[in-house]
Amino acid sequence: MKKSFAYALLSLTLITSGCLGQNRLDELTLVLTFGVDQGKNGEMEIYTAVPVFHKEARKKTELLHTRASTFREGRDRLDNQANGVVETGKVQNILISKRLMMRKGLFDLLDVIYRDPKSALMTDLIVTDDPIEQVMDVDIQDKPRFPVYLRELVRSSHISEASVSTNVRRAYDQFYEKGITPYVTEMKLSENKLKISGTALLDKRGYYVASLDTEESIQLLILQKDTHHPIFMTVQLKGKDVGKKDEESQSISYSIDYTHSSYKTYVEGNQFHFDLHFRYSIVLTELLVQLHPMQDKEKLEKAIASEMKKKMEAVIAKFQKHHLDPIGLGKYARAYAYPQWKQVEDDWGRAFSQAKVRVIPEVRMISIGSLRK
Amino acid sequence: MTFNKVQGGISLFQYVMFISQVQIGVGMMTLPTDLAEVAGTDGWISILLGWIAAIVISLVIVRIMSRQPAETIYDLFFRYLGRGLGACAVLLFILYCLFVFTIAILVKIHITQTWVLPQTPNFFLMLLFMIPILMLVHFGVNILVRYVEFVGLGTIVIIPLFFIAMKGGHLIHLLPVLKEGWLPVFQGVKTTVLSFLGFELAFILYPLLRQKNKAAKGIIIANTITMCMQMLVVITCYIQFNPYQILTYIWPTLDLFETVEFPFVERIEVIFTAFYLFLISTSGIPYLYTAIAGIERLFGDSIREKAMLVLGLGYIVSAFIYNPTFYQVNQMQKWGGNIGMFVAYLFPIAFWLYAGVVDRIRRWDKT
Repeated sequence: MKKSFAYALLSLTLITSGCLGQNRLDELTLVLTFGVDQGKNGEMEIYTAVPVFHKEARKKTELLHTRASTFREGRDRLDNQANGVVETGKVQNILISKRLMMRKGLFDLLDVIYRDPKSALMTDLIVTDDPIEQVMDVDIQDKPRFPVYLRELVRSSHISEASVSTNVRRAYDQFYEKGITPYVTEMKLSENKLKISGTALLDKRGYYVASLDTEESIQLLILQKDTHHPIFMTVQLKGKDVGKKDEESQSISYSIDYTHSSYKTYVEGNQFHFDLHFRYSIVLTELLVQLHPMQDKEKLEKAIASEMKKKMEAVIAKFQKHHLDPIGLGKYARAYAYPQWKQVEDDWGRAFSQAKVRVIPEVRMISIGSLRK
Repeated sequence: MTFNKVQGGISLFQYVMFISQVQIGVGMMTLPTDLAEVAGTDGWISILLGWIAAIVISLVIVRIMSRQPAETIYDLFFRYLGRGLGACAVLLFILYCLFVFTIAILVKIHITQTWVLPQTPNFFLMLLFMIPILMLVHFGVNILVRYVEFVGLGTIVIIPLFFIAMKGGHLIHLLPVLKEGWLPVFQGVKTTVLSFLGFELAFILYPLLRQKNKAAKGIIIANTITMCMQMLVVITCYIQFNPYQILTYIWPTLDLFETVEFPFVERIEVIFTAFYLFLISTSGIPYLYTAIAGIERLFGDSIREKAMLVLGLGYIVSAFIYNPTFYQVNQMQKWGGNIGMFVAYLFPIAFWLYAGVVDRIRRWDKT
């Protein structure tokens, strides 16, 4: 009696465990890329790239286009023209035009993604200056599907220090962290090819403010301690004591194999001071100046250090001019000068612009390669 | 009392597992946010203080139970309060257990619906959860303890996930320690003691324990396991999320895993949610079991099966009629916290003092 009752219950669980609302892959319109552009009357132009699974189809990716005032509305309108159920849980990247970012804050745009637990948060964010329609229509016949290609482009450029990498989840972190201002990968279209062009800097509300090129992006990544070693760099040495090999070349290339950085934060007379100490271990890879790598070791190290200091300080000056802090020095201010931080936390960008930031690099050559001079 | 008997009693390990698994449950999902709301990133200090409080009260419970090693709290109620009052107390305890169980199952349904199966109706999930729960409870503490043991060992599997999620976090979020001084930390203790709730089930478990002399040691170990688990969850959340961001999440522990990405599986948090259902079940089912043990003590052996059937059907039918919203579930959790505070923290001390006095008077009467 008891046993049969148990069996009855067990079989009931088997019946009830069939999931309601299941999807079949071939009936889905799997949205992998969203593109958003500025439209007329405050509306947005929304483009999506959808992979096509039919064997007969010649193009691997289908482009859909709709107009809507919000992201969510656009997704619902896509339902009307897609030939399957629109599924956005696997979105790989979101392309946003710079023009739109000047009118609309990034975070209002993304709210739907944060609120819906079904959406993927590892989606990459990309800003571009070019019309989205052209970008999404780029010719990539010799490359993987557009969304996959875009993702690889962004991730590999992040690893090779050409740009930051901001996914939706990190953007959320940057939005709520009062001690940092958001930044997004920037991309550009040149000769019908896509290229990562640097970093777009946003203000605290998510509006576009300024851009960094790829070289400045490296400095930003080093300042953020978000680098993958080795970092390859080439600098032009200009100084009285650095002799030229000939008229043109005064370059020197090296790879940074290891960086030890420590940031010191203190407050003096209501002004934040940041001393950013860096200890680089570098390997020479190319030497086109009239210096002997062994005899003039110290001179060389000093020259490189001062060059790096100049570059970093230029980038920091740019941030301070625009009242931005993409490095996240506000976190250090909070950790080490809490009472003063408390007074400025709601307008950290402004407070940071008045802060005194010193970069103190120290270069140690650990190898000069296989040549004696 | 056949329901609450087990061949040869339960081992110390099972006792530890049982209590710590009851404690690790709903609280683990929401604790980082709840704590950050009151104590900021200093919440981890509150956990240490809450842990000490939980141990103290647990030891009080062990002291109460050691007066009559073979009796559960229900027997003690009758012994110390007399027939009428004792029955009332038993009834209250049953209601408390049922209430906690209700909260646990509602939260479970709510999380499943939000994260995994948004289109599946409430009653369906209730049916799905209720059947195995009733089966577990039906076969008594013997099977229940083994189930809890199984889930407890399974929990170890998810611990590495937390360490993986810790990667890429910023330890600097924890600085400065004691941001706003000690006051918020002490206020945070109230939040943490709620997530230690569960040790009060020692009231029913103690008579089954094989080695009674190790009861105190066991309950300290159980509380420590819970504390370590909470510490891991809270610290991971605090270094992964910045102090402002953490306040925006309802279930930070689930959001935590959205960053974790393996080459073979992308949305690990969905899998974690499914796994989490086991964890949360072990904090609900023992309460239902305790309630039914109380009903049996009150009305006799014959009514047990009927009570279980009525309760089970009651939950399923009510799921057809009444679907609590998110706000209602939240509100219920708050009430549960307040009542639990009373039942698990204040009541043992009061009862301990009372029982001490009664025992002394009775002894004095005899001589």
